[in-house]
Amino acid sequence: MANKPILKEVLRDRGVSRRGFMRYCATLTSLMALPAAMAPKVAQALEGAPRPSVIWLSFQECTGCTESITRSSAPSLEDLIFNAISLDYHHTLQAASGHAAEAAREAAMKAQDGKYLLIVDGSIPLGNPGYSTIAGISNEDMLRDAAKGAAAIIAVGSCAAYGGLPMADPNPTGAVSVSQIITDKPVVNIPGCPPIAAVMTGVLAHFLTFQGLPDLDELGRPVVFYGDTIHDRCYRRPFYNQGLFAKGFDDEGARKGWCLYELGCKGPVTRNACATIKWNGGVSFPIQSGHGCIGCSQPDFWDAGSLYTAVASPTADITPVAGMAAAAGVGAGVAVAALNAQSKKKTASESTPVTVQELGDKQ
Amino acid sequence: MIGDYPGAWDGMGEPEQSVLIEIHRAVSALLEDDSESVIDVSTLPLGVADLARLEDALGQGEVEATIEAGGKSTVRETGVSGVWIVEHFSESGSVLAKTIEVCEAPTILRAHREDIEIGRDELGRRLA
Amino acid sequence: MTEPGMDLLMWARGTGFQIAIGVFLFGLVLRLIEIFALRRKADVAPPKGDAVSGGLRTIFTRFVPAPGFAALLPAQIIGGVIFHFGLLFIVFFFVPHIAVIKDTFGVSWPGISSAVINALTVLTVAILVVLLVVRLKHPVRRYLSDFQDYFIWALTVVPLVSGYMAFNAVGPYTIVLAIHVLSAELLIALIPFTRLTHAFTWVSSRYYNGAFAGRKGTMS
Repeated sequence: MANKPILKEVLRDRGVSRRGFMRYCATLTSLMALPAAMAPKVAQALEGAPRPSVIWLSFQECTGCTESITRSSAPSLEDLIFNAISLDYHHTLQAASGHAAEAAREAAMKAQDGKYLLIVDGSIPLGNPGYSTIAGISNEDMLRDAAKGAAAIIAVGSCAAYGGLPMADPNPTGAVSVSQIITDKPVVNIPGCPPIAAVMTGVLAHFLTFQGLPDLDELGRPVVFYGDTIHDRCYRRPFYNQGLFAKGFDDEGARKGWCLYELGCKGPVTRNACATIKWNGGVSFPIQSGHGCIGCSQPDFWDAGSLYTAVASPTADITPVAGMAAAAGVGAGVAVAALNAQSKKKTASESTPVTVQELGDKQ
Repeated sequence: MIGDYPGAWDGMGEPEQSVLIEIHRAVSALLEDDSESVIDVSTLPLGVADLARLEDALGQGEVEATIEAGGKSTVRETGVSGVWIVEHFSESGSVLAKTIEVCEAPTILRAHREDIEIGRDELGRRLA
Repeated sequence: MTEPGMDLLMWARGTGFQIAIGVFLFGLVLRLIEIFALRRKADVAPPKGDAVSGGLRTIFTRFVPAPGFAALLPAQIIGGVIFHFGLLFIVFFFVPHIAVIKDTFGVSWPGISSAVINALTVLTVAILVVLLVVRLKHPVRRYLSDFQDYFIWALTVVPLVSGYMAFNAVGPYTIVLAIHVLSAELLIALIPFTRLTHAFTWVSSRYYNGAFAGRKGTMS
């Protein structure tokens, strides 16, 4: 296994100039909120990364996370960087398959033992290992095996980070997240369905530059990208503050770009960088395109009520409960009224008129 | 008075004043021992108006360049020679990163060895 | 792994809301039947005035404080009026609240500017604080106050404060919103079982007093 820097050659072959790469490193450094003087160090770290630095495993997933990287803005530098340092060990992208691929993976793990970054996308089925296997190896076994020699683990996408769609009620495969299986190593969660490509390379660049992981929040997310909610950074926020809301996807408010809260936008309870980094090279993000945030980077987002119901609105139908409660109220009301009437009658029957004598005694 | 700058009074100073002082120090350092500096504008506690005043104070220099390297970037020399404003834009025209660089020429502007080699080889092939 | 407060919020939006509405409706129906089933002995004295017109009149005359009271209790009367209207506008004219009503009952109406609601919330909470201080400082009022008076004060103030915090992004939004929804549900559920029942009985009780006096040919 060649252990020499290769990114330079990959970039050259793909016609990316040095300026283009320096520009990329400058924007990535700014994105990660690192001091601007770090940009050359980030460039150096990315270029000097030994191959393989990354081993990428795909479990119960839809390949959307990989798509996010490979189909990111042209020229897709994120893609090139991952290619240069990990392509041979990316299950979906690598040329080899079956046992040959597994042999290559094992060789790579041995060569970089204790130093490689393990990236996982997809959840792991514990219900029955047969739900998802690669070359006859269950996802759980492969994850435990690959995690042993990893310096750190990155769970890419909501499935790997929190179980995601496979774990949605009733969770037929018994899906769990990476951090539910690996508890003795740092796991960075980069949730999103899919996550933003720049966030993935940002964490990778941080790991290579500083030989460590960025600051994480209590859900294992890099604070620099997941510190704010979509709502905090939304350009439509002024409309929320003014109380100007679109009521439909084609009404006057929608055309004027008003807040999508009433159409079910989950921006207020969703932590991600979509509103600032945006998608497709900064072109747009869902809210800018007229659709509310669906909260895809949050745990259990699929079970968090309708995508089109306001974030504080009831999720349950109250009609049967209301009917039963009212009926019970009528019953109880009639009973209490009857008791009241009875006790009134009883008081009346037991009481005797006050005599003049008694009044005299009281004085 | 702020530090060694008797002209800068904290009472009257606008927020950009301290950035100007930092730039002044950086220019002095460049002259003294060739050390270059970069300031990420997005990390400065400046509002839109403060930033406009900062750029006004620095003025317009002699160089203005547009670079197309995997996206549009611009380099502007300010009225203070050696102080540059570098901006990287996304496809939709929004600013991805904006830095103030204190150096003889920003890295992004210079031709790099790797690219020069490619150019030489290409030219050589055409001549062969 | 869940975002802090998300489980609580989802419970509040689902089961919590069902329980709150259920308890509220049960209690309200029970209380209204109980109240309207109360009977007096027939008044055999010849009426000296009209009960109906007396009752109807009193529904409205009680909006104005009795002569002398305004000077005696300025804080309670002015503060009380502003507080009630503030609460009315905050609860029924804040656009996200109308969205909840629309999603629950299918009816909606135009809201008013969220900035106005925001200012109104500050005013309303300030008045609640003033009213609490007035209650605590005066020895007689303090003597007349029982646990429920303080309890329903808190029951009212928590949704207002947490709503203000959620709107202005003070604190972690998900947790704050969960507290806001839960505290509002607790308030709704306890209306029929506390003095807050007056939200539903003020018209009928004014009519009752007015009609009683009207029949005697006096004013209530």
